Amino acid sequence: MTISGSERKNLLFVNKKKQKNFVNLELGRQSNKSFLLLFFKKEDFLLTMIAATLLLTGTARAQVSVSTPADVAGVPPAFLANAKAPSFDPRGTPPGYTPDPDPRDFTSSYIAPGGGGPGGPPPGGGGAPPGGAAPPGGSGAATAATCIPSFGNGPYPIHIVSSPGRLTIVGEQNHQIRRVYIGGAHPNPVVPAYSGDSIGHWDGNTLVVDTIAIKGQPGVHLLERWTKQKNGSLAIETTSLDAAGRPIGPPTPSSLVWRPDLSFVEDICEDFGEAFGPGYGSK
Amino acid sequence: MKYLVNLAALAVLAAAPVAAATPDLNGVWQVITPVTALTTTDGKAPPLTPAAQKVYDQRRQMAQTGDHSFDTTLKCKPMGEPRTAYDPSGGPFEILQNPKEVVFGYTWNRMIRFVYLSPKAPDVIGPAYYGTATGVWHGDRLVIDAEGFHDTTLLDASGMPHTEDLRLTETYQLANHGRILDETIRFDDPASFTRPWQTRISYRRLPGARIAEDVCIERLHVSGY
Repeated sequence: MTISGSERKNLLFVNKKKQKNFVNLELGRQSNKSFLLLFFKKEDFLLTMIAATLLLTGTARAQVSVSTPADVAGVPPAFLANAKAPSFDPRGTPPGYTPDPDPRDFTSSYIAPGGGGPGGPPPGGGGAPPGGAAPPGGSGAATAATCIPSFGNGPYPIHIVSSPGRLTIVGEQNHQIRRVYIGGAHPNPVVPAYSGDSIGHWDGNTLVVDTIAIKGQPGVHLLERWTKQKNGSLAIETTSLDAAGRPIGPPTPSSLVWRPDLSFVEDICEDFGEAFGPGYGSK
Repeated sequence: MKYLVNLAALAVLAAAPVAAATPDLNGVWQVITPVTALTTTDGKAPPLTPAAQKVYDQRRQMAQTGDHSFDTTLKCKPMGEPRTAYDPSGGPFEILQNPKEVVFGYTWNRMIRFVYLSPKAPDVIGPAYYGTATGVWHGDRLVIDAEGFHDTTLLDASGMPHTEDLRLTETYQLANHGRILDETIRFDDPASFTRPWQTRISYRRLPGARIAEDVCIERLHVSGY
């Protein structure tokens, strides 16, 4: 297996410039590097030894702050020897943060509760990714493997940006950007996109989002109600509508857990093409 | 001495924002004159070090024969900062602004860049295509300090190289009643440039425009994904 140069440098950069000897095993966190390090361990002897030495000598720490046991299944014990136990429920909000009191300000980072590990490399491209499957409607490994975006909140962190007339939902996985135009109207004609076409309006402090034109899902019409909770997390109710705009069944509840401790990390699916060789990204 | 102190105080007062509203950069912008090969603000070639010049010359020779393999964007890898905004194929970009952050949403393959309006950037692990950036408002100017870039990206389509030590200082300022956004970029990278240098780029506001979803591998029909 070939590891891209930039990923090798990433490890060196962390050691040299940040002087933190930070080896990233933050498997529940969305980061290409997590995967690559796992694969280093298995298949790249030199880097495995470097990482293991750093960990075993205590000069590096493995961050498993948002990992579930499934995320680290199969990881050699040496790599977890110095891992810090999570100080809080890894799928909950860490203590010590106070939500912005503005119920309409969603600007922050979130993560789907119970989401699996990152999607990462494609099946057969060097090993199955750790972690469970993406939640229903989420961006699963199948689409991530092809570097095609998909609709929904995947298992990776979500970053929401509130700005005048807009709510922008940035999914780290495969750089998925969903733009909600508050007070806007669907264009006519509307061009299908993997992120759909979303408009919104406020019902009290609940943002009602109307989405059509999801590429690959013709006829799908979703109505979501996004409400910020007192604990900072977001409650979402999703209702499917028929062609006449009538609800199809009861709303499906979901949530995004407020994670103000997270910040945006690039996830470049296209890099895996280089890392995982022929059949994945090579032109 | 007292005179000097007073002068200094005046200078501070002059530089301080006088309860002025923060400029509104929200919206969609497009480079007025796309940049294929960067030049300094006075129109000269950037002051490349001999080593960087050698790399740059090789790339230009390759380009003359139609070989652009040095440009990884042809494999749908990110253009990175700061190229995406001014590259001929970068497309329009939007700025999302709130008191906490300024976010650049590029058309090109849905790339996004977070600039945190806080004194310290979040601790990001390793270099990134869009680096790690903090911003601060100095009156009506937004000044962004960015570092932590992959060295695999190009500063422009002609192949201008840089290293991981690249540091960018970007200054954004509205002009022409908010219809134009002027950007000055300072490039500081001792291994690539003999001295820091600056370039200037202007963007036109596209009122009412929306950023279309771009999927590079579909657009370029890159096989194998």
